[in-house]
Amino acid sequence: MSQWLTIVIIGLLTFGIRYSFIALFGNANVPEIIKRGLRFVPAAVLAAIIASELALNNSQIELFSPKMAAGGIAIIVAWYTRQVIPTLVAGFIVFLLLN
Amino acid sequence: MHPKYQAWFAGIKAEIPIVLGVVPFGVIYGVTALKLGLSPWLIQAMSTIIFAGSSQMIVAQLFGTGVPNVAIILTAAVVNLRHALYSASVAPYLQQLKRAWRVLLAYLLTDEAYAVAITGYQERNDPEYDHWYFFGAGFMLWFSWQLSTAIGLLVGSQIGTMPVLEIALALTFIGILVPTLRDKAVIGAAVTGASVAVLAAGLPYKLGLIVAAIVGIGVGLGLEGKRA
Repeated sequence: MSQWLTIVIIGLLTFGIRYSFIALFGNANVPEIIKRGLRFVPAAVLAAIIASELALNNSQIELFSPKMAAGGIAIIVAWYTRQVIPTLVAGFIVFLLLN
Repeated sequence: MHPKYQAWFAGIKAEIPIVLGVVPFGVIYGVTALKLGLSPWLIQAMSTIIFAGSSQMIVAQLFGTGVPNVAIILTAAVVNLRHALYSASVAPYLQQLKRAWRVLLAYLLTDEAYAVAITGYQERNDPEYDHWYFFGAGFMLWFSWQLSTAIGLLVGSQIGTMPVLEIALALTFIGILVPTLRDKAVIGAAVTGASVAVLAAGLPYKLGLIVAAIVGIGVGLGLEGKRA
């Protein structure tokens, strides 16, 4: 199987995964528990991605690092400013100072 | 200007801070895949056809190792499995749309577009034009991803690494997520998701993220139930 065919199949599968529930929901009534659970998807998934990016170094847990400090400051700035750019800038500055 | 274009531009604008974190990643992907010996056309086509950064990076690395293509396909699918959660999350908002719209928005449903789109749905409350907002955010991300891949191919090995870029995406997600943490149940879901993701990092193929999401959602539901 060529590399081209491989990436086309991966592309189709990826699209299928992204389209899956969007296609299903059009036709069916969704149980209440699922609807309530979906409210927590952004928080759970985004927090999981953030934590894996900041607290892991080559799959090893590292809780005291410039990355974690930058993340901590960024959380505080984000909490008070509710804006992305100041959060990004504050995190960058802390990271650069500690590196 | 027609409200639909206003919503579209608002989506583009909301996506810009995220793009700052994504462009370096796209460049690094282009450079890395080139160094691994893949053809430039294939590298660029992966950005269009697959359009999922982490799995593209993994696929590029696996192509050089002699791993059978069937195994590469399965690995990429598992890595992208988390997008099913996004699909379920946005699905209720897309129910009324025509199929062409749903197909388009599904194609654009990446981590970075989802983060902006779902916040838009929760806060804009403009059901008539929210899909244009989603489209603007997704388009902006798509365009930046194609362009940054191309830049990576052009600059090739001339570019060095910049450590600060490692944390750009995480910081951007913090900027999006933290302002949405309004009640105990959502905070509980976030803290749990973060903790489980770190503890389950040993699981292969980013499955730790899926486990973290499921446990986080469960905790959120539990906390909400208690309050009610």
